[in-house]
Amino acid sequence: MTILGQAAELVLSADAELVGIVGLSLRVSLTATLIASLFAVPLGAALAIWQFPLRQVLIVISTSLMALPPVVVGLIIYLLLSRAGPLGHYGILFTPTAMIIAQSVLIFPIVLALTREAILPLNRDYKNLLDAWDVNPIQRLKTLIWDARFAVITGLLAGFGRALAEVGAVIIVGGNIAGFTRVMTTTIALETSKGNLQLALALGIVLLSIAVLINALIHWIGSFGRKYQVTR
Amino acid sequence: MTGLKLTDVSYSVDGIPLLHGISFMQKNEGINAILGPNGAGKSLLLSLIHGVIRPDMGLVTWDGVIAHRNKHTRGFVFQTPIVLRRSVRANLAYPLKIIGKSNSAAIDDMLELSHLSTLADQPAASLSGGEAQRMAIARALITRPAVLLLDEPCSNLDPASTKLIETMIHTFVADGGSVYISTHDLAQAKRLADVVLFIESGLLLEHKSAKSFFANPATSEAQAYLNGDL
Repeated sequence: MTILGQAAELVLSADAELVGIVGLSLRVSLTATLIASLFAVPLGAALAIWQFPLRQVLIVISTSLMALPPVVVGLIIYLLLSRAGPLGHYGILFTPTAMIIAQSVLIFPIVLALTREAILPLNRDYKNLLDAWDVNPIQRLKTLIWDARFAVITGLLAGFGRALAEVGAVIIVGGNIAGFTRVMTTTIALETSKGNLQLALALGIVLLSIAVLINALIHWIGSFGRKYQVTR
Repeated sequence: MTGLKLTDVSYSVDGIPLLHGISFMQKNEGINAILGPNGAGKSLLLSLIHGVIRPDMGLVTWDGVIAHRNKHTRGFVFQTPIVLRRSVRANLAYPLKIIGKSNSAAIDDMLELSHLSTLADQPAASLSGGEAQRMAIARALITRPAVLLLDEPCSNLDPASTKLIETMIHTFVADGGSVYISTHDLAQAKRLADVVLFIESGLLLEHKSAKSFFANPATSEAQAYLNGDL
């Protein structure tokens, strides 16, 4: 049987090790996406809606952070969480929690920028109407996020995809410990270096399938959202 | 006096004066048409009256309260309807939600009044221009405001849509509401208006009953405007 055939068999037979790794990857990346979006979505919306001191500085910083090298993020979080670091007493280095933190930091600027981009034009469209109704700031924020929901969800999916595909930061702060912090990308890197191509390829198939699924969702949500956009 | 009062209101943009020293009082009743040529300041005056923008000088009050403090007592409709990215029904529900109410009977009434019942669950973005404007008026009326402000609501609409909108306006006034409408359409102003406010180059030149304005315009500018020369 070819390597590809063996990899496919691992996927189709729902190999326990493979399922465990995929499950952990999804759990870590989904949690990171949720945590990042909890902060990034309202802040991205606020940057789109209001003018305030240091707004431009925040935009430049958040945009620059999109290009953060994952290994640098991993290194910084490693230093913070290591025993000698300021957060070392929590003892979360080399745990899924550390991986979640690293991925949250990495995708925060992505979700923030995409949310801001989604809400900027909508705010221009709605501003006069919301001003005329005297809508308060919280209601305004909620309204704009809700009405930009399709684009915001697309941003979240992009962030999730980025988190799932990330390897540099999680391998540093997670340690790639078998059965504990080993996720799809880090396992692929490790197993390939060991010559165990079946498992690496099986995980690659799963990762690619998830990427295709995410892109299909982005496409579908985008086309659904366009129904609600005025084109007159 | 209850109603609208403007005291020496002026407004300028980048140092260019757009409205100068406008003063008038008007009771909350009937239909008040704001007339004037392009660029006279009709839309700006309407926005100042509502309190969306504040004058550089002077005071705008409604029933003695500064305009921007009681905007919720009025409905405002823009020349180009602003459509929320929601269904027609959700668009109508939105102003109620803003004031912490929900009233499905009122939504159904407004859908009926605006002839949009069959489109209630469609995305509002799919409405035609006339339908969107009717929805915008229904949305402005759903909180039962005392006053409705309409900024050229029928520009670019066909006669049938215009007629439906005028019916909505008449229904609102018959129920005790008061309307301020800016319009270019003199025929529409003659059909609707009880009172005319005529402005030219940012100055309020006439404020009188519509009957008197159309029969005997006092200023040369108004005469020129009615003759189509301004």
